[in-house]
Amino acid sequence: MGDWMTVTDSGLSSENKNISQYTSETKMSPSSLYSQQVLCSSIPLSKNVHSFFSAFCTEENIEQSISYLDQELTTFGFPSLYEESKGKETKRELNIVAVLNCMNELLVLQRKNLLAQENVETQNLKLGSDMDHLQNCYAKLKEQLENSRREMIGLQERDRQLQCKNRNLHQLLKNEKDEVQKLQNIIASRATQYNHDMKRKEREYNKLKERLHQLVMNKKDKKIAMEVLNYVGRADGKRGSWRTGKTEARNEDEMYKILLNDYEYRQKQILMENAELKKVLQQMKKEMISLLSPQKQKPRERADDSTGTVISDVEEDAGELSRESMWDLSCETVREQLTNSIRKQWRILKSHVEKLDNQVSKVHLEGFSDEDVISRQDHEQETEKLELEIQHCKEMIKTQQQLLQQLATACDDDTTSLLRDCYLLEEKERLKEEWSLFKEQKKNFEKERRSFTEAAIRLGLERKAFEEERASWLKQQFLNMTTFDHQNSENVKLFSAFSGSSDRDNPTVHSRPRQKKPHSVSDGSPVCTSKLARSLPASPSTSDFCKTRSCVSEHSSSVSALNVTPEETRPSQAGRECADQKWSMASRPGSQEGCHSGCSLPYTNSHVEKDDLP
Amino acid sequence: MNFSEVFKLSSLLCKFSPDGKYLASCVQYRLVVRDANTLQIVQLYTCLDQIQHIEWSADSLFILCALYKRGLVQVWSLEQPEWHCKIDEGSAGLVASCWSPDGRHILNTTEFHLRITVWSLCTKSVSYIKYPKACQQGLAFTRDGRYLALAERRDCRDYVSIFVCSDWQLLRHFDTDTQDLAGIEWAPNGCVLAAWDSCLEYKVLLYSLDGRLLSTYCAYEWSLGIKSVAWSPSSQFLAVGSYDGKVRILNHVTWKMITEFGHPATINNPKIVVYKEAEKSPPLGLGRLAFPPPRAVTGPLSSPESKYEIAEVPVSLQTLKPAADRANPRIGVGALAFSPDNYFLATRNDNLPNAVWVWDVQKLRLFAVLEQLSAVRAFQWDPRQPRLAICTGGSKVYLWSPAGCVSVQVPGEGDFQVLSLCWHLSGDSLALLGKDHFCLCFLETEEGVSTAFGQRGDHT
Repeated sequence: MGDWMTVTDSGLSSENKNISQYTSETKMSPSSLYSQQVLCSSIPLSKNVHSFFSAFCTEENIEQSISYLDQELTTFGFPSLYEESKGKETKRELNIVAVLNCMNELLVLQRKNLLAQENVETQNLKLGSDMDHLQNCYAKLKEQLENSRREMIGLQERDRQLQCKNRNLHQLLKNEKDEVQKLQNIIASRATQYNHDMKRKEREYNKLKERLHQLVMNKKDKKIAMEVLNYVGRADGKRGSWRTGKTEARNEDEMYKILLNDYEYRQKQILMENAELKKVLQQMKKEMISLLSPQKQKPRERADDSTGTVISDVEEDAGELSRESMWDLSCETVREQLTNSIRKQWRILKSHVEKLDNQVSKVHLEGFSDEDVISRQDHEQETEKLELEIQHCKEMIKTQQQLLQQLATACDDDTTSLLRDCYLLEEKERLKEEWSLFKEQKKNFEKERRSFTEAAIRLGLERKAFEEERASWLKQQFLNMTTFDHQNSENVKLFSAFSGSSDRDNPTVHSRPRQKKPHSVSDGSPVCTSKLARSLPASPSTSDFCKTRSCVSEHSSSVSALNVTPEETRPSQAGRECADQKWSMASRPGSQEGCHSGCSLPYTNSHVEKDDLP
Repeated sequence: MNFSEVFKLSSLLCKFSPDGKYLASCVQYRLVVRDANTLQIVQLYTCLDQIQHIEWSADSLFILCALYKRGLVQVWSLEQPEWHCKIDEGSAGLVASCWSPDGRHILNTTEFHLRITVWSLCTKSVSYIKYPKACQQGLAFTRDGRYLALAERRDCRDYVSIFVCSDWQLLRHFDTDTQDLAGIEWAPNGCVLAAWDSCLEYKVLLYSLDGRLLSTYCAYEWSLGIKSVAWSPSSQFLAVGSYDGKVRILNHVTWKMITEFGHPATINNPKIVVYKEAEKSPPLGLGRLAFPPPRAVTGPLSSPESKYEIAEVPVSLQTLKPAADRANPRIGVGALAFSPDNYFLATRNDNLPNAVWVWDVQKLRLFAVLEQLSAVRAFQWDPRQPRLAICTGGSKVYLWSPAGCVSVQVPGEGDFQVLSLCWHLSGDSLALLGKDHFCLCFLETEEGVSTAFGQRGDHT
């Protein structure tokens, strides 16, 4: 590029000197081209062109030059260099202004052209670099293409190889299969052949054996003999009997007798097993009924749509149970009835257990927060109250202080102040006392408040634990029912005696189990209470309850159970409630439950002890 | 646990009488009968040649001595020592001899299983039974001694004949659907007969006493089949051990499989107690390190003492790589035995030769595994209680009970190798049989047992 530029420069400078150089030049700048064109068009090419070109305008040819230029310019659309002549003959005058204008225009044109040239050159440059870049890109892409083509070829090759391998493997597999088939066939044929051979051999062997038998046995082998000192008696003492048709029949008879005995034995066993299983089923059914019926009657279970049917079923079953002898018949219908009712009961039990499960989970989720909210409300109320009181006290103190200050500032006089000082001191002392009293009061309030919050929290936790345990215990109880254990059934009844609030309305039911078990009664109630205490978590409410229980039992024993009614035990209960109001306020449901169980137990005790009395 | 002195013995021939009063043992051609308690010699009989088999009659009055090489059977009476009986099978030869359950007949099998001769001691009568099959267990008496089942082969077919033992009358004769009958066995109640095919095919057939086919059982095909069969004493279960290393238990109601006991080489279940016999290395006293070491090492010191350790699961048992290209490969369950109370089943898988497996039949699961230091030779249940005696061909005897496991060194001079053992009827004593000697092992009575099984409570 640089070379090119210098070439044009030199061309421009020595334009007039060496034109042949330009003509031989292939790459020419537009300006030189232009001048050449001009020259070519004006003068015919001849041998003497060189000499003529050395100067365009000489002294002699001014006129011609001017006219030539004029002509040229007019053809290019410039105004004529000559002045407008009036007549044809008159010599046309050179118009200087026009010339100058023309010159100027030419110069402007020239500049414009140069500018354009420059632009074109830079554009050219740019294009050149673009071109380079594109070429590079092209080369790169080409390379890439080549690479991918190569890769493709490689992959194709591999694919081909794999296909080849696959084909080979297929072939091999086929061969192997054929081989296996062939071997199997061989094995089969060998087996048949072997069996055949074996049979043949065996036949031969048998023939030989037969022959040997004949040879050995029929030769009257003297050696085959038994030497015996004297014959011994039979083990059973009997004599051998002749073989007759009778003995044969007897043998048959005996054989069948043995077989019959065996079958009878087995049948008996099966019957026994059946009876056992039936018993178990019956027991299960009974227990299920006894377990499910009281709970089904609870209003809580009203959602269960099958309640009605269940109750009717229970009644029906109770009727069935009376004719227990029916179970001994292994009749189809009876069996069906039994299995159906068991199935039904089982379904109910299952749904019940599931419900309980749900309840447990609900208790886990909701119950906790619920209880907490209530206690918190109470707690907040209490704290508000306390805070109000404190505020009150503070205000009072403040007013007193103000009064004191007013008094102090009111009397400036020294003597009076001195005099009053003693009064003031006295008053101050008194105030101080009062102040300390207030402070103590405040502290007490604070303490009370703290203990209260603590108690509330503890109560909440305990409630939750109790609920949980109760639920799990309930569930456990239901699961244990399947083991058909009398102890369990009793436990369940015991449980129902102190469980839900719904049981409160039929206390006779609760007392039943206690009456059933006389030995627990003989030494009074403590057995039951300890059992209860163990089953419940050791919470303050229960311990309280235990205390009351013990006092109640003492009370009842001192009265020697002469019709100790629940009403009689109530005062002590009420007294307890008065004594610790805080408790009752915070744990109302718990205490109620405790109260309820506390009431129900002495009631049963009284019953029991009445029974004990002659 | 006390041991008697060591007595001479040949061919492992030593048997308690069925009533438990006597103990018969053989030394070459002499038969020695001892009192089972005092071990005083009661009688001594001399046979014509080396005794190869002995058997007590069911009433313990007679002893049969078979001299197979000579084709002779000699019978001796315990009540009348001068009484004798000699049965000569002559050129027919003799391969087996046994008593009939009444103790008055002797069944002799001739060579090539040509026939079975039934000799009577009461009368001069002789009966023949032709075509007995030469197989593993072709002769079976019911436990009450009334019937005899016999496997027969004629015209390339297997048959079973049932005879009434009292007069040897044929009661039933039926063909069995087997390729090659391998054995038959009566259920203890005498009403069901189990018959099984040879190891080439897994097939168990169950026949009623009257010849009806009750059921057929086949666990798998195209592989080696049954290796051992055992009835439970209650006739309730039939345990079938096979070459695939499994025991299948069939029930007596449907004759279907109840359960399958596999014998894996590794035990992962932590509930299973694995007793592993471990050598107790004797403390090395300086005085014992004499140089050069004495040639003749005295008896008890020759084998180190051993004890059982409870192995931590998972336990991998020592396995034996069987030669698959040989006949009778050492794989599969080769020995099975139910305990007399039906509660346990002891098995041995032949490619885990050092282990004895004890299964709980009530719960149908593995109960315990005993791994010995060497291959288990024999095991036998105490006839009175669930107690298993095991021997491994070493100088020790091993006892297992649900309470625990003990290893007892047999005292005595020289190396006494216990190759076999048999229990006394009462379960109070145990005869330990070696190659040339035997001794009796007296076990403590009930009170003593709990102290003997000192490991009680260790693992339970």
